[in-house]
Amino acid sequence: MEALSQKQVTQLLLDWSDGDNAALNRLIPLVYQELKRMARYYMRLERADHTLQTSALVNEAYIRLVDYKKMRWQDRAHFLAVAAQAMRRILVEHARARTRAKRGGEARKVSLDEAATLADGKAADMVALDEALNGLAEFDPRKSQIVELRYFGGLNIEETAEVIGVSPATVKREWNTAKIWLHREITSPSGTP
Amino acid sequence: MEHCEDLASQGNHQSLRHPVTRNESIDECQFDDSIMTPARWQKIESLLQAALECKPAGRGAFLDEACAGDETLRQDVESLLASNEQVDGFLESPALEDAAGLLSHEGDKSMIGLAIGPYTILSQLGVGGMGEVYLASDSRLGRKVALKFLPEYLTDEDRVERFKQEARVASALNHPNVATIYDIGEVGGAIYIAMEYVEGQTLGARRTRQPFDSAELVDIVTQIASALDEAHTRGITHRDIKADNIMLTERGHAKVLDFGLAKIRPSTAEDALSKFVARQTAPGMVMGTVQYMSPEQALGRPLDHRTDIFSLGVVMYEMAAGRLPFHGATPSEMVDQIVHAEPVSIAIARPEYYAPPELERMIRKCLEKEPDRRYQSARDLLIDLKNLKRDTDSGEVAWSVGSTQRAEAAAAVKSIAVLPLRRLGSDESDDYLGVGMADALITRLSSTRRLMVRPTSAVTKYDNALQNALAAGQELAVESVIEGHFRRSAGRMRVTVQLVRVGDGSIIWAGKFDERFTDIFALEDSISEQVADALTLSLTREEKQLLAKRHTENTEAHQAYLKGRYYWNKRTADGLKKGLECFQQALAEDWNYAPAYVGLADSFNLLGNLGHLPPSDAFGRAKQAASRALQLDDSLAEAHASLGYVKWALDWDWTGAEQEYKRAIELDPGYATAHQWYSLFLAGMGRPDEAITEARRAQENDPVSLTVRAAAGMVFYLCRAYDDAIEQCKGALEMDPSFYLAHLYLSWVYDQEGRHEEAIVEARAAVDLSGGAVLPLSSLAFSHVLSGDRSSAKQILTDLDAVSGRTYVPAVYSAVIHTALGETDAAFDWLERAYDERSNWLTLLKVDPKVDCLRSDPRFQDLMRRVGFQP
Repeated sequence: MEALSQKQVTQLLLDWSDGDNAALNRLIPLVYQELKRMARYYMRLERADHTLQTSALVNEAYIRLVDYKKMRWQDRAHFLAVAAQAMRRILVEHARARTRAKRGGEARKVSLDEAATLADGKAADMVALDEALNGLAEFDPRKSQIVELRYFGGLNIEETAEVIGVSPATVKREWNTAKIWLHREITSPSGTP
Repeated sequence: MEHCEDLASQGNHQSLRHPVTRNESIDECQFDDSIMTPARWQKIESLLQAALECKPAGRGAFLDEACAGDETLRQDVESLLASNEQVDGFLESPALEDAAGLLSHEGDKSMIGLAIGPYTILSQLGVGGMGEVYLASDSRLGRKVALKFLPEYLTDEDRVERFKQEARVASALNHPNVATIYDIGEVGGAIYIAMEYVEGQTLGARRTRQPFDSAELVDIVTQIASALDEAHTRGITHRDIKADNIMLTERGHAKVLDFGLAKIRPSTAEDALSKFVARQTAPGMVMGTVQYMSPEQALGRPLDHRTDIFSLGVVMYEMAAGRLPFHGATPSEMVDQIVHAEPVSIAIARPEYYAPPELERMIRKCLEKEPDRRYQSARDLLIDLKNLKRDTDSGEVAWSVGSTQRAEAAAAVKSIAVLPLRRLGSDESDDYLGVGMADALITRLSSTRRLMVRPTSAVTKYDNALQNALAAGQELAVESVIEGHFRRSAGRMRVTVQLVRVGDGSIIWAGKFDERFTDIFALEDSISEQVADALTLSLTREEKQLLAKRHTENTEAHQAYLKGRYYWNKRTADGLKKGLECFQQALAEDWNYAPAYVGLADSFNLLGNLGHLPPSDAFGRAKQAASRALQLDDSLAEAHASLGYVKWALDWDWTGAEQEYKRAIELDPGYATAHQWYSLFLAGMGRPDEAITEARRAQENDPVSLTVRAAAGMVFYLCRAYDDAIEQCKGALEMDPSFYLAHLYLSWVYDQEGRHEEAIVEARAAVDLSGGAVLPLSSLAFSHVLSGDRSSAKQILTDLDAVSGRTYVPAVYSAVIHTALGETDAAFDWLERAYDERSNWLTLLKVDPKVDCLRSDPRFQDLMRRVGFQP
């Protein structure tokens, strides 16, 4: 990341924290871009010997994208929220591309081994989850965001509570309920509209 | 579960059937359940929470009541309850992890199908720090190629140009074991190389799947070396030879990838680190690059083709040992290992595998730290590889050995000799350190009692820079030898040691140590521990403690002690006296330093034994020192042996002496001196069978010791096994013709065999070689008498008498001469004086053939009784 971008991201984050919502719209693509680059790299390089650490990735992105010396402590929470959202988009887009590729029956050699089959299933799951999360956001946006932060952003209960501004106990309870609902939505044979 | 799914699906079907309408009223929500509203959700959620708090059995009744006939509501809650049963593990791992499998498996979609110049990308082959590689088809020639895209960060124009230059040169390489470069191109600012596509697996992947055997290893390495030879001849250095840059086809054909990419590789470890860190490469990638670097490469020094030879050595070691030669948790640790460490022997790294010694030697030659000491060209290595193959094909050398042999090769190093470390510095006053360190290691390794360790006395003669360790090992009849050198400079002590198997010269372990000189203990600790490790002794906790045991924390004291042992082991009168001073100096530093007391005791014992000091004086002081040592540490074998000697020679306390000897041997069965002294005791007691057994044990433990050998000669003589006695004495003289004690004992034997002329020759040699010492002189007189030359004997008696004014002359010597002369009264007079002196010779009164003619005399019986023998 160039120094220029870091300055930009830092300023946008500050603006957004100060209530400038337009700043968020310009912030997300920058975070998205960087996270995507990093995620691609990590996923391909380290799959064999490292457990992927989403939170490590997100935190690293924060350090790389933001001049943290200029940040207030609570600004980090804002960034984490953006990063989680970006991660969700990156991963779901990827999964969507994969499921499309399957449906389109592209003329490329499709490996039939177990890992590939498993991956196909995961791709479909990820797309379904994204749709279900959108559904959840319709009537319970907070739970939807909790899932986004926890699952896509890799945040723990405490970090999630910090970002949303509720108690960890609330996050824990709502996370559970959200999972139950999402699980039902995804596993129902007919799926969602 | 089936029931729950039915409910769940039913609920969903219902929600599908209803048109989407908006209704926010709580009251109305039960009539309009087509879409979830916050209000309805709130109701469902609270019911769900409440139901979850009920016991599963009570949930039905709870819902009956709570839903009050609202079946849709009830079905919704029930389906969520059912979902709750399955929710374990759902969304538990982060999304990225779930996605990893799916993303890693498909490659970069954005590239697939793209046309890059004449190439169409088919699939991704891999990705690494050096860029991404795709399989592509070349539409012009209809062949498959590997397209390698250089990493985006390679933007420096100059570097790009240099890279292109080199790649063009490399593209001229045409060799069956090199993946050919076809083309270099640029598309949209990205640089790519088109190279030969090799179907197969990398050597690294293959190694993980299935280890290599020697024949296969030699075959593959021969191919790689041949590729390197070709490249080096054309002035191309690879700089990144590693297992992952070598492809193996199914038919065992090897191809080296990525020639010509040297310019874009990080040139040093530091470079690799900074570059990769800056680019967010995983740490594993940095390591992967550093692991195969030569020392000069890791340090960023100028490189030539010999860096490839080192890297190939790493590959060879990896193939043979099944693991890399150098290890480190971080790149900088790794670099440290590459620059300083010697890899462990392959037999240790992979015990189930047998590497022909010649192969291991070749690997070590590739892995020499100094480029000048490596193979100077790939061709030289190639020649050795081909010779090895020829010798094995013809059966001269074995690829493998039977399982028993293999087990032995791996495990059975049970006897060991520590040779004095050689001094590399110019300060000769440091010489004692070489023997001293060896002595300390010997003591520590002996303490584990698992190893037969040759004593210091046996190894001091190898204190010579030109000494061949293997020859020494063979002479000492040990399976392994520790040898090494040390350099002391600027307050630091640098020690290099290696453990060598005598049988085949293979290095089992090697280590480098660098400590402040004041930390000489730490040095000894590390070395002895690592040697024990390398010998795969699984030590018990107690044994480990023994290994690390030290008796003083005072470095000065320890050094003085080491110096003392160095002199003591010379066993000359002068050496013994200097040793004595050193031990006293050590005690001045640390009054509670037990081994220094033992040193003191041993010095006095030998001074007494060789007649340099009167018995009561020498042995009396030895007794004090040995007792003090035992007070401090009752587990010192040497101290018990010393005390045993005093109890025997001075106290004539047979029971006490035997107890001490037995205790010493129990504490350290490998302590040859204890066996030697015990055998002498047993011979004196008239227990010849036991005496001979102990004499043999002493020799087993110290086969090259002159003292042990000659002492065995004396024991056989006392046991009247004269042929054996002659053999032992002659054996000792073969080792060292100038060893006067062997000549002396031999003369005694010859006299008993009636070979008096020969006895005189031997006795005279003993006199000359000892510089006219009184003991050989008295023996010469004895032989003269028996040969009929009484006047010569009388002359010697007169001489001894004259000398006794200046130096101590044991009375017993005169007694023996008078005995031979048949002057019985005089003989008994002298024996009485010997008794008053508490002569240690009287311990042999019962068996010594020299006084046989006195045995029937009542005075002899009386003397026997007083000395403590049953007549």
